[in-house]
Amino acid sequence: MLGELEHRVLLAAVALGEDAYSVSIAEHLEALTGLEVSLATIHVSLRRLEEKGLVRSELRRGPAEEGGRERRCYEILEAGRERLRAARRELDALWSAVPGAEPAQ
Amino acid sequence: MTGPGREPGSGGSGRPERDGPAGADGAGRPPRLARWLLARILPAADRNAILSELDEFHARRVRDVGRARAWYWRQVLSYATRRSQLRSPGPAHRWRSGSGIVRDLRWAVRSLGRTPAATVPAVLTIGLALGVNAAVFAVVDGILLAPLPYDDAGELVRVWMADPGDGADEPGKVSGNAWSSWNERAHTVAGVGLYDVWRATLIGVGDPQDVMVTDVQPALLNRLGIHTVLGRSFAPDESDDRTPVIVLSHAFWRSRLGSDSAVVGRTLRLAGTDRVVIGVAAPGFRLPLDRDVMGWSPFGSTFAGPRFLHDVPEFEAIAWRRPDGPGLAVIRGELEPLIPEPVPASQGGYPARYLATHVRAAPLEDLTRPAGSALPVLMGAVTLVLLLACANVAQLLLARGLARKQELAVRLALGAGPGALGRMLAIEGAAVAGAGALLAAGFAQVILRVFLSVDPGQLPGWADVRLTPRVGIYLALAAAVAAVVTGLAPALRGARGPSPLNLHARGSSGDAGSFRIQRSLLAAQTALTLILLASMATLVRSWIEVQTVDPGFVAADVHTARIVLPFNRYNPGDGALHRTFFERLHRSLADRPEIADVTVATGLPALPSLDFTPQFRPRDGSQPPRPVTERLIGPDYFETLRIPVLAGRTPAVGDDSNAESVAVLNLSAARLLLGTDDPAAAVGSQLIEGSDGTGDPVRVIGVVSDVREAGPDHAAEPRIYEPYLQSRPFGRMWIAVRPTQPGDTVWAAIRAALADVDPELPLVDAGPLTRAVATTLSARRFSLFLMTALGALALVIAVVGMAGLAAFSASRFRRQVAIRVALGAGPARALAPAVGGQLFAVAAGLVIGLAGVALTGRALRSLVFGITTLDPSSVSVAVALLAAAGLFATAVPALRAGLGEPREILDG
Repeated sequence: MLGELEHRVLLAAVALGEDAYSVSIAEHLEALTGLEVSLATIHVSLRRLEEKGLVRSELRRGPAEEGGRERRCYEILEAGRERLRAARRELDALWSAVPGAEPAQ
Repeated sequence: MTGPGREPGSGGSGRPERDGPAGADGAGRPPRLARWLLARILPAADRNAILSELDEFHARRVRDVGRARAWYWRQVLSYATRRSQLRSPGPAHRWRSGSGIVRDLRWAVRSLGRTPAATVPAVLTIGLALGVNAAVFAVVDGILLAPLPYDDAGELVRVWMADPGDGADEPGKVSGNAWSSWNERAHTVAGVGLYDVWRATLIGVGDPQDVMVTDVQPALLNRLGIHTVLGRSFAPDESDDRTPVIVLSHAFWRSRLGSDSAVVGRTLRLAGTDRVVIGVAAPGFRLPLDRDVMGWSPFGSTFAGPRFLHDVPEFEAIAWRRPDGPGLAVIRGELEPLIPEPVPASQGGYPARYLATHVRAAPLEDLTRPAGSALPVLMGAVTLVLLLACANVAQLLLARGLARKQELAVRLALGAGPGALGRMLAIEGAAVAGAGALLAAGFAQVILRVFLSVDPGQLPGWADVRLTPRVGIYLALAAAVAAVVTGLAPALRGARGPSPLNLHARGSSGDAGSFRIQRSLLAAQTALTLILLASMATLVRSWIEVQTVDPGFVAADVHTARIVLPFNRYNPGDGALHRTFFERLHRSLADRPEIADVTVATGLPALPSLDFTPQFRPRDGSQPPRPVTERLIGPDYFETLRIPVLAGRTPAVGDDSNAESVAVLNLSAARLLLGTDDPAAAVGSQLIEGSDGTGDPVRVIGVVSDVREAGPDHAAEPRIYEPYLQSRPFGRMWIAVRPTQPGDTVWAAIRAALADVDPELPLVDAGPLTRAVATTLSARRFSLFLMTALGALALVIAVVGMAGLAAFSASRFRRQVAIRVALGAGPARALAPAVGGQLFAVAAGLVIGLAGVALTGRALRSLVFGITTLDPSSVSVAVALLAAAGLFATAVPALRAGLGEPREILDG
């Protein structure tokens, strides 16, 4: 099972593609959901995802125009994508069983 | 306030392009402390990445919101609370095991907090033992280990002139003539500087008072590296000739002048001369021998004339080597032939007996290392106390561990490896030691204050002892050792692990292995305690022995003071002037009805003396020449001090320069010089001074008993007394007065008598002779005090350990004991399985301790007096005391815990 935050972090990482790392994920979450999450929480989530074999990471240098600082970048593995699809199927199935529910905006 | 990185209107939503990095001027940088803390928290493998990611996030935040200090701190806090969940470095297990230690530590603290009855005594015990350790180390460090507070102290050498017979470990002085010659011609040293500590009356600060001042050559003071907090030090050519000046010591400036910041330029009247204050030295600065001086004044720039340049060694001297300069032997070899030929006595010079022809040299650092000091012994004793405390606490923790056997068995059953359990118990030990170390810092402060209130006598540097950072480092190291020692036994025990099958064991007799370790610890405690108690008993007995010694004189009711004739009014070259002064003073004192006996001498027992050690031999040549300590005395010396006269008579007023030269020997000197134990046989013999047999003959007119001058615990030395009326008196002489009525009222009479002779002279070092005698024992008293305190502390720790184990094992054996009681056994038989092993452990500890006493006894050698280092009665007392305490501490808790109503116990 994906934790609630892990779910969101994983989704953010998919959306960000090659640019997925802690800061971009935090900003992505804040921009799209208004959720302000501490960087430590994101790091912990990413580490759990990695332990579960859903993502993998490597240390890279950021672009030179941003100072070329070291960062740990994440790549979604196939298992991660599959887990997201499965989660979505579950949620869709559950939503579809709710009478009178409109699709979310 | 708006941060410089803020861009008006940018808000939080848009992401406008920026020209440069945000907040390049510092407001945009993360708070340094927070970032530093974060770096400590993060696992090494990801530290840089996380730090730079957070830096980046912070920079964006500053750009968007303006400031982010509080935000950054919140982020750090968030990392701190999630620390254990962060990424593991490289090989996956390492960081996780680290987090395991943190978890174990947290767990240990919580677990210890749940059992305050065991934890509080454990922490107190370790804390007290570490505190005593730190305090004694502070003393050892301040007195034995601390470097001299001088620039390049290793190049400083103390040089002095001596006779071949003088003891090598009692440094002497240097004459002005020798200094002058060395200064001009010596090449092996870069320089030689002289100083001289003297007493003077100070006028201008409150009432006239007696102070110590040091005259010093400016070159020496500057070579030592004096720093001033106010004003200046001496100029290289500072002279006393035009405007006399003085640099005040920091202590004097603070205590007597209230740290007056306007003191520079003020005039103080010192020994009749006005001196201008030119500066105040930095705290703690002093010359090797001047304790509590008011300040330093320069010798006259010329350092010439009879006041300085004569042949009598009178000044302290310090030479400084060149870097990589020659060794001490080479320096001695150069300086010795450079001592000028003395002015012959026939031409007004001093008699050869006051002069010295040899040069000795020693590193200046040796001066601060008192030989035969008790400090190493005391350091060893406190180390034993620390080991004892560790054994005690280890045993306590082990008992807790046994009591938690079920909990440990559950953990083991749930998959915790035995290693993890051992580590957990070791960490408990470390936690206790760590908490103890925190307490110890406070204890050390208090204990050190108690130490300093006990005057240990002549230890240089005693007043400067304090808790320094070095003491802090020592305390941390000692605590680390304590943590290891304390955690070791429980860890060993835990590593073997209790059997999961014992999960349901209830109040059974416990496993034998744990008890074996506990009893070993108890035996170790007993052994360590015995060593400390035996040392204590030995010191106590030595103290009693010292008290019963007859020192050879009666100090009670005798008052002493020193008369120092100032050079400017009493020309040192004028021997007759000195002699007349002391003759008049003696008569003036003797005429007072308040004074029963009075004498004048170059030295008195237990007081610093101006004694020489020339060689004497019998005129008939029956014995070889031998060095004997010589003292010049006035009439009534032996009567005033109540020194028994064994044969013959003592010098009288008529024994002056017109009569035959006479001397009195003590019994040791009669034995040494004349080879006789019969005092009467010695009277009438003639002695020749000097090794070559050319000196004037002296007739022995009496023999007196030996006097223990240096203290009751020091042997009497061979001594010859000669009347100063037949010799050349010195400018510094002691007076000793025995009043008709005991009490201090005689001082008024003494002052009046002195004023009749010279109204401007102060009484120096005035006080009762009993106080001086007590001072000779103060180092011994301090050792006794500390060793007694340590022995008592050890006994308490050991008794607590014994009682704790007895109560514990009795409760573990409750069922067995109850069955025995139910079967009709008496208390002793019933409790045998519970406490029998423990009593055996105490007995074994006593045996091991005896071996330890035999091994360590030699260390006490310098402190033992009148008994052997392995004094049977002292050791017996210690063994008996400890055995009784062991029996008591075992039986009482065992009886309380072990004996109950058998039915209740067996049903429960």
